[in-house]
Amino acid sequence: MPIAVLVVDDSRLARRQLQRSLPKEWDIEVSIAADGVEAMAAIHDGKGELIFLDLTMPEMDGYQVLAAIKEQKLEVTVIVVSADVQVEARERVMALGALEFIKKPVDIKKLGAILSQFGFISQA
Amino acid sequence: MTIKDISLNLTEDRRDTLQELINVAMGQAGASLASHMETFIDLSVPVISMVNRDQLAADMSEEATLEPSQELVSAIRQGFYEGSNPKGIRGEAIAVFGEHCYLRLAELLHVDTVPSPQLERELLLEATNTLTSSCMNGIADQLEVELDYSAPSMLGQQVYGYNLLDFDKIEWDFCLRIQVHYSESGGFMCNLFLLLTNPALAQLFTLTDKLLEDLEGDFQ
Repeated sequence: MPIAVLVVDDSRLARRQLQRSLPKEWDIEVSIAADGVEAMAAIHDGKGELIFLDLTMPEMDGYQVLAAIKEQKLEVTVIVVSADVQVEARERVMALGALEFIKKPVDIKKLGAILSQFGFISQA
Repeated sequence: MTIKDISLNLTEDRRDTLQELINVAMGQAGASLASHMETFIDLSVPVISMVNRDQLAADMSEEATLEPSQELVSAIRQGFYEGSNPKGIRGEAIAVFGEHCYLRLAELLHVDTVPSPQLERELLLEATNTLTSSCMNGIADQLEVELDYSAPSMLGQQVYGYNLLDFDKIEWDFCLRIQVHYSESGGFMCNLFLLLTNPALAQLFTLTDKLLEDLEGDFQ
């Protein structure tokens, strides 16, 4: 059964870049959300087993999404994909329950290694 | 505003592409500044718009003022250009700082000197150089171009925002204005304006259009 992957970013370019970086043979069903509010709705619809989450977004940002997931005890996995590469940004999202932090623009090899490390794919 | 030449219109696709390029670049600039000042920099969504001379004047008198109670500002300008390409990307960055911003900078950088106009000048020139080059290099890397920079220079020191630019000397009718806001909890705030006019603007849009087309091609 395919994994429900949710790509959350307010930028169409960023969503496309992330989608293009995902392993080609990976059995997934991809949904997209343009902000945190859409993301939460998609998660409640079961479209986000694995979530790639941007931080800087209008409406509801990535930090707020992580906080909501934590507060509602939702069983989803979040990988943050952000341009904010400050050490504190990484520490904040990890404390909020993110599995990993990937900087933009996404490095395909690094993404593959992370997916492999956490068992989402069999090899990088 | 609407531009007659369609090749210069800021379409939704172009705005989206530019915004993402700038987000990535801002992140790198913010990290560079955060490392320089050993603090956390809050990043906001950049504001991108086409403006005419009058609108830019309004920006400088209103948005350049960083908080309502703080009317005096200091500003630095710095040019950027593709040295190897006369028809390439070029423009100007204007960094606007609040009246007391340099004091916070001095504190963060552990500069133990008596406050003075000279100290302000030195600190703001350095901060502008860091912000402009890291932000613009971040954009240029993604577009696969290389930029050079002129030396930053003082545009105004402890002046009112509307006095920053000499609008009689501006020769263009409209420009692309990108506004990036940097702040940290202790009181450091900076508005960085990136201004591009034609023909550099047409070149920028050519590059962003190509970037999006290449990406969309993968999904056909």
